[in-house]
Amino acid sequence: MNPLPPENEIAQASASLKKLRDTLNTVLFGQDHLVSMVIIGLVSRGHILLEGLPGLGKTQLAKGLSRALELDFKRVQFTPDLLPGDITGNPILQELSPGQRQFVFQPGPLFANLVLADEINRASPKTQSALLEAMQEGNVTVMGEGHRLPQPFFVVATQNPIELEGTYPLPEAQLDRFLFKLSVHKNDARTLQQIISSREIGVDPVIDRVCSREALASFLALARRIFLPEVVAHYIARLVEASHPGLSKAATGVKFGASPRAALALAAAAKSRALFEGRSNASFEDVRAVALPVLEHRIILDYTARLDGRTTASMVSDLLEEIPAQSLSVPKTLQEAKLP
Amino acid sequence: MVDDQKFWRHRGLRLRLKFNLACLLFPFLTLLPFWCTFIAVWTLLCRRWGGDIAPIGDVFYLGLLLLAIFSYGRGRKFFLTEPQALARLDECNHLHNALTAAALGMIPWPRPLPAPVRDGFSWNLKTLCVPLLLSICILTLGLQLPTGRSPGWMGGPKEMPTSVTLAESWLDSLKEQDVIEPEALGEFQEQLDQLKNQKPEDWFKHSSMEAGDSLRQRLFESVQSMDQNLAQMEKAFDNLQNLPQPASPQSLQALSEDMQKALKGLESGRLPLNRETLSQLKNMDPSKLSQLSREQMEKLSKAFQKSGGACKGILGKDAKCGLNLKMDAGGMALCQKPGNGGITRGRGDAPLFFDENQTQLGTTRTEKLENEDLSRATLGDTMGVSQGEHKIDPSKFKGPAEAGLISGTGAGGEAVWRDETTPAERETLQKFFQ
Repeated sequence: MNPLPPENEIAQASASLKKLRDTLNTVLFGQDHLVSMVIIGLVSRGHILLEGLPGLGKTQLAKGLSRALELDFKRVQFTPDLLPGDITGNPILQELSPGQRQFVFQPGPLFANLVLADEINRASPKTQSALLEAMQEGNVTVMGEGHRLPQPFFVVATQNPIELEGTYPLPEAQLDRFLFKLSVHKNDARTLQQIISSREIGVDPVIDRVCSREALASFLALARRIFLPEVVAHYIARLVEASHPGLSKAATGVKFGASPRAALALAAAAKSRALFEGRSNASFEDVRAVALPVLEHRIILDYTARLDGRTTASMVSDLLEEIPAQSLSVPKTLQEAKLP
Repeated sequence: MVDDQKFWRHRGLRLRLKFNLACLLFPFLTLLPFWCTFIAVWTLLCRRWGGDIAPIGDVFYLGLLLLAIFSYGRGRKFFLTEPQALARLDECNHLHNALTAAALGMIPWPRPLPAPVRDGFSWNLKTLCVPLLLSICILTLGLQLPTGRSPGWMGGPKEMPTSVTLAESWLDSLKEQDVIEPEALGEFQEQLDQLKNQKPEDWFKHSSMEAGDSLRQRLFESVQSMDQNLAQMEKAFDNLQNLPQPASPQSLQALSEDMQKALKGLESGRLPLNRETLSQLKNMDPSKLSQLSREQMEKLSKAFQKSGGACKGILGKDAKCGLNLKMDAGGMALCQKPGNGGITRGRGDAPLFFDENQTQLGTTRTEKLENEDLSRATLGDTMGVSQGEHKIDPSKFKGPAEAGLISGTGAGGEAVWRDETTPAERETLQKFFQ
């Protein structure tokens, strides 16, 4: 067991992360929860899939994040004709000296700390798999030669839920590599008014640096040292197990449940949320808070459930309702009291 | 810091006690009604068949103990541990698992909450109370439900049937008076002893009850018979005393025959008089009665009173009712006279019933029936009815004479005493008026 981080470090990290949230809130109005979850996802060393309609600020969020954290930022607009080499980089024949030529690897846009993979579902599966290999392994292989990606390495991918013709939906196995799948919702009128008042089209907002890259690295290390109590780990395990068909009432209509990677992702995200909230231990509440973005894209419903209008989001909500935090066999002489 | 730890550990302990008690109570209360049903059935059977109830209480408590042990064995695997209790408090009080981490020494114990600490459990009163009340009801039924036995069901009946106790008291009374031949009483006493010596469980058997009733009835009838014979004897003796001197031989003969008849009844009845009294009466010669001194007369009178008193003690105040005296179901002597009839039927004297007092017709005044217009009287009409004692001049009595239904003839001016109805007719009339 890793020794617990000192309280002052946790408090300092929490303050920095909250400051980062506040800063990003000046870029993306009315999406406080989304921003928080993106930060938590980053602290968990996870990659994030944002799903939403165009123009809701997904790209601005990624840009703002990189600026606030002083990260190298690259953006790749995925198209059907995008080739793996276009994102990983290609060897280029260079003339080092007269008569002497050599292939020199020219890094692609993946070689950055923060990569925005815009409309990832429009790229061919070949290109998608190249990206997903980089996400999983943290390095790319070109012509048999491996190239380590810079650390930290985050991918924020976006996909559009409309205009699905000619797209290549991500296979479930590849979706599983994203820590979070977050939905970007449309803004209400008040938020829109705020956007209109404070922003101008074609002008990027000014974002101050919140913390250095080193500080971010320390936050990532700190998140790993957050204590995960056994009861919380047990809760995570039971939640993931119950997502499989036949193992809970909520899992009715589920074709495939969440993987063990989902359990690991839940634990990491819960720890990161605890750090974000300034606590040195993860809790049931943390697990519940991150369960939806972690599990939503990892559970596959069968066609009957889809015909019934069920979604994975509603299934996860049902799962959280059904599975108690503690697996206690409560005798009938007691009953669950209503708690505020 | 230490106080915080103490506070939360104490709260955890309280939660554990509550939860673990509930775990213990659930199987206990589930099985309790079944156990109580068994005990109640057992109790009912003991009460019904006269078994001993005392060991049931011990078995009941032993069963409760075993039930508690079983419940402990069954419930202990669900018992709440301290980490579980603290995690529960974490969850219910939104402490973000601070107690769990603190218990492991990871972080300091959190400060006690200003609001009451919640544990998220409340007692399910329905599950708790229903089996408990059900068990109490079942036990109460087992103890209180009537089983058809007398209240003294424990160890059999305590009292003998009324008929036996009554017959015993009558026999005791007759023995004290010392007017009956002991050998005659011995026969009744032997039968009584046989009934008394039965097992208490057999006292109330049908055959025993019938035997007891029969004994009581026979004893009653014997006493009644003796009382009538004594009354006849006493009457004859009174008549003998009042005979004018010198008495006619016919009168003396008639009185002597009456006395002999009564004496024969007293001697040969089921309850004969004792030998001393009997010999006194036998030695009495009606012709020499006038020669008896006053002391001898008083002695004889006392003998009659003593013997009669013994009978009156048994037959009661209605002993003078004669053949109409019957014994009711409770063994009490009851003078059965014809009833009034009608919707308000019940005991009462019928009109025209010959009695000492004038017939009460339910009015406030005493009336006398008489036919005013005797000229229109037809054969068989009642010419008149008079009440009260017959004013017979004994001096003019010439003695009884047998002439059909006429028990006593007289010369001119003498009243004629006639029995209008036979005993069978009288009984039929009684039944009709009842």
